Amino acid sequence: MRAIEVVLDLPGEYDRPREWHIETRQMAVQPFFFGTGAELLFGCYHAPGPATHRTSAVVLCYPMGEEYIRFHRAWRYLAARLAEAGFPALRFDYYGCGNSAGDFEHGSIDRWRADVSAAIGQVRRRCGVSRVCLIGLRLGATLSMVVAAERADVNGLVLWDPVVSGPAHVAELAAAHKEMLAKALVMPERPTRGPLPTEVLGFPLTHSLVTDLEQIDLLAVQQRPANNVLIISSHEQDTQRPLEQHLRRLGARVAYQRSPIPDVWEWNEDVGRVILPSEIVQATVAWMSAVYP
Amino acid sequence: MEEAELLGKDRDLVGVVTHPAVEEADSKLPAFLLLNAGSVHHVGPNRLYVKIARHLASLGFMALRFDFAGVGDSPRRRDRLPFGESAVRQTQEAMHHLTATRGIERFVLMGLCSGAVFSYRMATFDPRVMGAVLINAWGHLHDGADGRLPPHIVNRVLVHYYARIALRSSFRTKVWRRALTGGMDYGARVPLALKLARNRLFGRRKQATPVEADSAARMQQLAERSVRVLHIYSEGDKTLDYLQVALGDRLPEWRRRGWLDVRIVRGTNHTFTPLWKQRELVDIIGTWAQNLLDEPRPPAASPP
Repeated sequence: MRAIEVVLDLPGEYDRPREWHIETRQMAVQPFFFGTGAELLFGCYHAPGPATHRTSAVVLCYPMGEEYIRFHRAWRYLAARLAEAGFPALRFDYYGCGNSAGDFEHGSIDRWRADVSAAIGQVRRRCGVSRVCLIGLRLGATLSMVVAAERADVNGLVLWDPVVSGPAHVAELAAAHKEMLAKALVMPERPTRGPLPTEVLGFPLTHSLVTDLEQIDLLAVQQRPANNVLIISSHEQDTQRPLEQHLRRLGARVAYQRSPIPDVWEWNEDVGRVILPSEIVQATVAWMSAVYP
Repeated sequence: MEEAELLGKDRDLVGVVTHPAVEEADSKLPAFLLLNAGSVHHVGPNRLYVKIARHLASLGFMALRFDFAGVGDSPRRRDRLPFGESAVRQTQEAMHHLTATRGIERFVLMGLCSGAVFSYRMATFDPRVMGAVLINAWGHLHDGADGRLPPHIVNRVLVHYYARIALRSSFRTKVWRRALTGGMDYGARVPLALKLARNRLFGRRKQATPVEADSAARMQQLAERSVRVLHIYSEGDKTLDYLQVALGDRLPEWRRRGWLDVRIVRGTNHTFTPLWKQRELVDIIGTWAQNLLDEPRPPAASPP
C-alpha cells in the first residue's frame, strides 16, 4: 500500500482512526512562536529521541495554501518519525500561513525565503547542531532549494514534488480552481475576468504573488544547493527527471524516489480525510538515516 | 498577540491562544474555544479558525484553538476512551486551562462539522458554557446516536438534499447544466437516487418528525439556562437538510421560541471555500459575538 488514507468522519466514526495503530511511539512536540516584532512565525519542534544522536537537524517546509491544510498531518507524521530516528526536526508556518502572523495575501516569495532562513537559525539554536537538512513539499520544496543554494550550511535536501516551473504551477493552480468551481456547490463572487482567478481553492492569489511565482525556474539555479539531494516524485506523471539531471550537473549526489499517489493531489472538501503517504515517509527517513548516520 | 501553549491534564494538547486586542482584557467576558473540524488541525479549513479567532480578538474576546488528542499537532492519548468521550474531557480540560491561567470562567464553544457536534454536546451539560456556534452541524439533535444516524433518517436527509439543490437552491442552474451537458458523475449518483426512491416508496414508514423527544427537552433546557446557540449552515451542504428533516414542523416553532438561531450562508459549500463566503461567515460570528458584549455578566457557575 503506497498511501494510508485515514478517514475520520463524524463523531461516531471517530473512535478508532487507523493511524492510531500506525503511531507506535510518541515524541514530545514543543509549539512556539519565533521571530521579532509582531510578525511572529509559528513552529513545532520535535526533540530527537534518545536512541541515536545525529549531527544534522531538519527543517520541514510545508506546501502552500490548500495543500498546507491537506498535508499538515503527513508533515507532523514525518517530523515525528525523523525525531524518533534521532533528528531534531522543526516544522514551521510561513508568514501569512497557518498560525503565523499576517494574511496570506501579504506573503511573497522573498518573505517566505527569509522565513526558511529564520527557521534554520531557530533549529540550530534549539539543538546546537551546525548541519541542517531541508525537506520541502511542492512550493515548500522550491523554497528549500532556492534558500539552500544561497547558503553554505545546508547539507541535504529532500524535494518532494517541487514546483520546478513557476508559469506551469500558476496554470496548474488556475486549472484546479476552475475544476473546483465546476464540481463544488459554490458560487464565485464574480466571474473570472482574464486567464487567472483572484483566489485558488480557498486562498487568495494576488497579482504580486502571481508575478513572484512566474519567476520560479529551478532549472536556472546555478549554485549547487546541497551535496545530497533526494527527489520524490509522487504525481501520476513523472515530471521531476529534468531537475534530477540538472542537480547532477551541478555536482550533487541525487537519489530519486518514484512513488505515484495521484489521489492525494485532488481537491477535496472532506474534513474527515487525511492522507499519510507512508511509503514516502519511510523512504525519507531511511534516506536521511543512511546519508546522515 | 498569540501564544502557543500545551494544555490538558498531560500538558500535551497543542493550542494557540489569541489575546483580545485591547489594553486590559475583561475576564468576565467569555472566551471562545474552537474545536477541530473533523481531522483538520486547529487553523481550520481554509485557515478559517485563525481568521475567526483574530476577528473575535479585535472585538475584545479571547480565543483558544487547540487540537484534540490524535488530531493535528496533538499526540494520541493512552486513555483508550472512545473519541467522543475523550473529546468532551479534553474540552473541559481546555476550559480549566483558561480558568487557571487567565481567570476566565465562561465560554462559548464553536466548531465546524464534528466540532459543532462536540460544542453542542458540551453546551447541554456544562454550566460554564454560555453559548455555542454550530457551523454545519450534523447529527447533534440525535445525540444518543453518537453521530451515527439511523439509515431511514439519512435517506430522508439525502432525498431532501438532492431535491432542494436541484429545485430550490441558488445552484440549481449550475447542477442542471452539468446534468444536461454530461458533467455529472451518473455512475455514482443514479444508483443512489434509485435506492433513495425505492426506500422512499416502499420502505417502512418511520415517524414523521424523527428528532428524539429528549433532544427537544435539551434544547428547552438550553433556552432556560439562557445558553445562546447559533446554527450556521452552508446552502450547499446536506447538514442543512439534516436540521430541516430532524426538526420538520418544529423548526419554525423552535425558532419562534428563541431556541434556534439559524443563519444560512447562500452560495457556499461545507468548508466555505470561496473567500467572500469566508468573510461572510466571519462577519456573522462577529456580529453575534458583539451582542454578547451587551449582555449582563453574571457570576460564573462552578464546573460539574
